[in-house]
Amino acid sequence: MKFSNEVKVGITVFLAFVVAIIGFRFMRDVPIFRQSMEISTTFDRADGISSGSLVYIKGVRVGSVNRIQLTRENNVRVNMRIDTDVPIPDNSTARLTSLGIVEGKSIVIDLGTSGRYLVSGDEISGMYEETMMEVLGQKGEELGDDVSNAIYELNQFLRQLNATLDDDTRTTLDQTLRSTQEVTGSIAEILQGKKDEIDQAIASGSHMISQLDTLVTDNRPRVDSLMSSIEENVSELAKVRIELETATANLNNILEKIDHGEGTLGKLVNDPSIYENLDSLTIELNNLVKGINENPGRYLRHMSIIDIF
Amino acid sequence: MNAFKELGKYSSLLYQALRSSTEFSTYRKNLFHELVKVGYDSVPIIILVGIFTGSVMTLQSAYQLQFAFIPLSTIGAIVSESILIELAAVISGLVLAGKVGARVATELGTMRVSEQIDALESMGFNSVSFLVVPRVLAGVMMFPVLYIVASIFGIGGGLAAGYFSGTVPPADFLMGARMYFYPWNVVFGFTKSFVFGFIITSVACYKGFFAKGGAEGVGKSTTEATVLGCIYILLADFVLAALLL
Repeated sequence: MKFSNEVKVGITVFLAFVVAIIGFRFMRDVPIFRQSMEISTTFDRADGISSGSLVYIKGVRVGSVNRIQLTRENNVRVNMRIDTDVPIPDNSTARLTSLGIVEGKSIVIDLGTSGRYLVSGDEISGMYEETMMEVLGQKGEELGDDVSNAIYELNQFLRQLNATLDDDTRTTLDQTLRSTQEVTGSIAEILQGKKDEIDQAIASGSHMISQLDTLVTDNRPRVDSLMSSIEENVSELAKVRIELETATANLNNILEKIDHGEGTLGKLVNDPSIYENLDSLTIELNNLVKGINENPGRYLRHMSIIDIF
Repeated sequence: MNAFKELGKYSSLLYQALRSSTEFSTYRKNLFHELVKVGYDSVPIIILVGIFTGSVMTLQSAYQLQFAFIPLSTIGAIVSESILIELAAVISGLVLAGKVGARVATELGTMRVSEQIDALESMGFNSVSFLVVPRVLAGVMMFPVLYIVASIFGIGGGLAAGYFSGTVPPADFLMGARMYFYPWNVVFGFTKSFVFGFIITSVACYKGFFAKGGAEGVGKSTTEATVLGCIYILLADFVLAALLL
């Protein structure tokens, strides 16, 4: 098919301009075929953004800045074009912030909780958020002031110190130092004078300690044997104590038996009849001895001396 | 002195062309013929120029910025903005100064030395209206169109080069390109291409229209048309940048 020149030119121009318009809308971040809505917000200032800056919700790009202009109230009004398929609650807020340290600034919309959604032409509240670099810059300035203040005060202090150290104070200070030196010198002299005595004291002390040492060292075997024999005696004593304990127990036993009148001794102790018998026996014996004394022949009449011996 | 004489001749030719631009019926057929020659036939070479400009820009920017502490999207911004502001208009202008300027100067020079222009004049045709006006108009009309083509293929070429060489992911490239896209840059590039179209075709027409002395004269006028076209493009580029930015 052969095109006429007019058709060729028409096709070229038409295609070029269609592509140009699509490309332009694409580059401006305007949805090419979808509808978009325009909402606006107000910031105190709009450093770092320009027409074309991106708008994010939770890190997702949803649109771009369309227009920035100053208002009569000394604020900056920012119009944004947002894709309409993103519902934005009408109490959402816009934040002008930077996403990183080196990145440029952009607008972040923090979604609200309202059930009503924004429509094109609505306005939401905006807040300018100072970035790290700005804060750092300000802090740096403050810090610089602090440092220079500190240095100034230090200078002042040194100057005052200098002023305090006038001639009088200087002489006083000098005298103080000198007397301190003198005191130190006299202490040194005293120490020097008493040096011999101190030396002797130290020497005798050490001598005494060494003698004590030799004493202990020389008598060590004896002390050792003494100690061991004491130990032996103690153990013997322990044995003796045990035996004594058993003996006491036995004695207790015996005494108990005696007390209860068991056995010979018991009967002896507890039965009074023996005593009575013995008593009467003694009386009888007395009588007998008296009888013999009075009349020996009576008992010796039937026996001769030979019989007896 | 000679320079002023040339300027005067050039200006009077342009004045004649402007005056006769109302005679649409005289040059209507020629205009469409020239539109095809200047615009439609130049599209392939402009596509080629655009793609290579963009891809070379991307690769070299990526190479130069590989140690810099910058996000990759900056490369996209650099490439697309450079193309839109400068390269699409200027490089295609330089290429077309050779292609279109040489053709126009040769055509008119040959017609002049073979006395066809004199013949047209003697037949009562307005030779300026018949020959110069359609060519200049075609340049002025088609150069912005070619600027669009060069821009689109330049940015596309840059994107593709970044993708295929693995230096800049397309998403980063596009993000940077869109983040730093200022509509004024497109207007500026458009203005440039408009001015360049006018400069190339008018200088070529002037050189061809006043060619002298046989085949050698035609060759001389062609060379001058091309060289002067290129020089005036660069000059106009500077003047426009100084005036409009």
